[in-house]
Amino acid sequence: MFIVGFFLSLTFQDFEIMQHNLPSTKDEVIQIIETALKTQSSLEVVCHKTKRSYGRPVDADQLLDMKNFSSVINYEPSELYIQCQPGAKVSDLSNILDQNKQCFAFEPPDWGPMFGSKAGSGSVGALVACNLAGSRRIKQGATRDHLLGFHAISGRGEEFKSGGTVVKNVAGFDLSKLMAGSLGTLAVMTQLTIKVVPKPEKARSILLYWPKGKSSDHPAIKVMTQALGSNYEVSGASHLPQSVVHRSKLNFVNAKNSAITALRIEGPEPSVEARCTALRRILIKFGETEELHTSNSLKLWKEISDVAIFSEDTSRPLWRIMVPPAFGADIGKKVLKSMEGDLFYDWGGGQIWLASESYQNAMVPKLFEIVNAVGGEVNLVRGSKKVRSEIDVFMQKKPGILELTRKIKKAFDPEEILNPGRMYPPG
Amino acid sequence: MRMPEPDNAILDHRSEIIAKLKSFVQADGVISEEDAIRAYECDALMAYRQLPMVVVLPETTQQVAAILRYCYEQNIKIVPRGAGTGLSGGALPLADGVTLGLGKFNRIKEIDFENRCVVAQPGVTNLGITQAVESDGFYYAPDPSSQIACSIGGNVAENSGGVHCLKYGLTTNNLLGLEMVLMSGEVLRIGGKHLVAAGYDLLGIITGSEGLLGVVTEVTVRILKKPETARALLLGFNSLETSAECVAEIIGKGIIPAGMEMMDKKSTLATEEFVNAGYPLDVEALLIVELDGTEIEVSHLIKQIEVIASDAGATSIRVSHSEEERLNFWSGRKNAFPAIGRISPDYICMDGTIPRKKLSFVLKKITELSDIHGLGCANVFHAGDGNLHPLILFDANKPGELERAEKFGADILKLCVKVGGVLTGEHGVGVEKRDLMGEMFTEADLKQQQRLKCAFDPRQLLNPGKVYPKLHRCAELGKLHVHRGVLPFSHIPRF
Repeated sequence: MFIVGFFLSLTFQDFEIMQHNLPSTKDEVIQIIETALKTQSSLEVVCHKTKRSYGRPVDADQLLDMKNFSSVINYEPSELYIQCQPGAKVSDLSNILDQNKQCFAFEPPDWGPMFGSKAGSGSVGALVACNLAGSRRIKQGATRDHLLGFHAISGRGEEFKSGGTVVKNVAGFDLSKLMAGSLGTLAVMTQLTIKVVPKPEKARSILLYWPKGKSSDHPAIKVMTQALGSNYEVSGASHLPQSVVHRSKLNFVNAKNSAITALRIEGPEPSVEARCTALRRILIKFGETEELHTSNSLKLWKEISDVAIFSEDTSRPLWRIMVPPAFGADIGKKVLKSMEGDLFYDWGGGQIWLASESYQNAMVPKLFEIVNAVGGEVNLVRGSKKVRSEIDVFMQKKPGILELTRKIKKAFDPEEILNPGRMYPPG
Repeated sequence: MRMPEPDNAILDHRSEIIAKLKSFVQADGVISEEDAIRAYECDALMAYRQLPMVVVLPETTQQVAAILRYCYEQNIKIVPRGAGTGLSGGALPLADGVTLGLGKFNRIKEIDFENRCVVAQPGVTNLGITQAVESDGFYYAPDPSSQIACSIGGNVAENSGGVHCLKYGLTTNNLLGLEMVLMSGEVLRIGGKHLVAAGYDLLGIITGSEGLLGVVTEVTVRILKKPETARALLLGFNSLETSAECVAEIIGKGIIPAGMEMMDKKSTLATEEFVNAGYPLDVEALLIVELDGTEIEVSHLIKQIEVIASDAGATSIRVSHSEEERLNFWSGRKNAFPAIGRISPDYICMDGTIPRKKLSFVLKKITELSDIHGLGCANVFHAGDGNLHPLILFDANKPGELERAEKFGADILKLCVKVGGVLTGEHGVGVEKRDLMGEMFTEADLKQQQRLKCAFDPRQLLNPGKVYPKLHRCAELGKLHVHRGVLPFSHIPRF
């Protein structure tokens, strides 16, 4: 009975019969790739498998598991970088940085729980491969802006490197940018160097509780636009409509059942206080406000960056819509007119997270049409394996882009053995 | 400087090519008379000169596309050119190449304050973007010292920085969208006014690609609200070491200033003589630290830095109390290059980046190299990010001095790489550092970069002879040899 129960608890993906390669050295990685080339086999590259369901499903013969590459190689606080292997956990690195009053400026989100994985278990390799960024994206950029250099083994089985440990570096093509967000389709990274910054001395957030009743999305986007267009150096600007606040685990978000706009200010204490006061003066005209200090502020932005309010029901399709920020509310309204679901805004309106009630094929062209009208992009971040294998989840429909994408893939991985199909449909 | 051998078959058809180019653009858009094309024989790296076969100055994306498509079909090389202010010879013409100047692309197409961005043609100057939005209190943050003349398209090609990139990032961190034309003539639009999130980062790879991947015909950049105030500190030290320690201490205390610049004694004396900025003359190193933000934040941080500098052994500390005084502090640093030009008949400006902790070691070594090569050297640095600009002083009229200066410069860059730094921080590789790329990269590294070029430009017609010390045919690069082990960087044939 025990054995049956054990197997029933496994998902299909866990119950793999594919060959599992678990290298510990770069020579072993080279050997695995060379063997794959000789035997015409393809490899799915993973670390801790927390974001394995992001992107299109990979149809590969073998697994290349990089979790043994878990060391921190070098951390030089005064040089503002940390060098590690791809399997190192983001949460472990964040703790090390925290002890030195430093952090990753781009506020790495923890997307694992969004796909049903344990919190805090994602790897740095996956963070880079997915080019993630939290709410601070609007001020500090994404992972791609902070990856200073890397070593990797290409799909040709050749070791190569790019970049270095310094920020100012224009020697050769900036392959670090390309590696960030490439979803393991170009090369297998073996070493990463990421820029770090001093942790802001203080963080505060101002919450604006909108009066209940009619939608506050449009005025909220206006307020965020005003704040981000000010010189108060706002480092987080998010709006949670009334329909989603009950999903929050934070008392100061869910208690009043009102739509909330949140703005974050970080920096030295006297400056934070002065900027908060100035911003509160703008917000008070629209409704009741509240100020969150460092610890609560941290909780709020973690919940927003991790998209935690849509993590509970992992069966709901989750869409990510990037648009010019001032158009956020218009797009949000159009989207909700054409499908059932809930959404909230981050990046001042520039990133909309939409959890739709269900998935229908007709949604894809509709969403694309709405977003394309303002020159944005839309991705299906979470969806069933069947859906993800049937559609182009990143919807790169602009003329010429898909063709160039395929050529770039071939330049690194001519036989297309690394994560085939993950970035775009094969063929 | 060896460049790819000119193709006589192309040169034989010069008049035909000129006639064809004239069919794509207005009559004054093709320059072929020797006197007139001489203006295009070099960029700001004037040691290397070459007359182009012809210069074409298109005005629209469609014209660029038509020119590139024709050149692609005819196997004619293209050298894209912005304002010609580049310092590494990236726009050095080819004898059998068409220099494609983007100077007529000089319009700002859209200012969008709500989405905090500007859409501009590539020939608009860097400062032109700020000027277009400053009446509303906005500005474009990257500020290369040539910002009055350099073009935004050139900034994208070189991933330009500037003194404020310590806090605000380089071009690559401030770019939202591009329109570009591939060598085949195909027009692509990448990004837009939103923050791109998925797909290969084409914006990132095109930025800093030195005109080797495509011709940019439109850019969308982020603009920021101008900080409420900016103030600077002028700190003097009796050694470069203590000055470097002060830099490390400021960063160690968690302060990232808007800019942090250092000058050695030679540069300080030369600039003071030139602009009378009121610099202390009895110091070995001068540090300018600029803070920006709200009044409260700036005053708060200035107080902290005064204490740090004093503890680090600063022999003089001055804080700007007015905008005029702040600009005065900067006047010497901003005029360092012309000031050096007054004390030496010629100079070459190097551009390596090193880990900050190696600053004093590298400076000592540069002094030793200065003795070995028998040439003077003045140093200015973007100290906050370890970007050095040693200025090697020489006299081109004295036989052998240019060659000695080049050798000295190469030794400095090799030293930068040896201590864990890089060959170029912001000026680009171009032709100047092309043959030193092997110091930093293995042949496998370089081949992988060139394979990426092949994805964009399979016939290698865009700016060949730049950045990479050896041209490989794309077909050869594409071959797959399964082998083991590390490839040593063998002695490869140079151009």
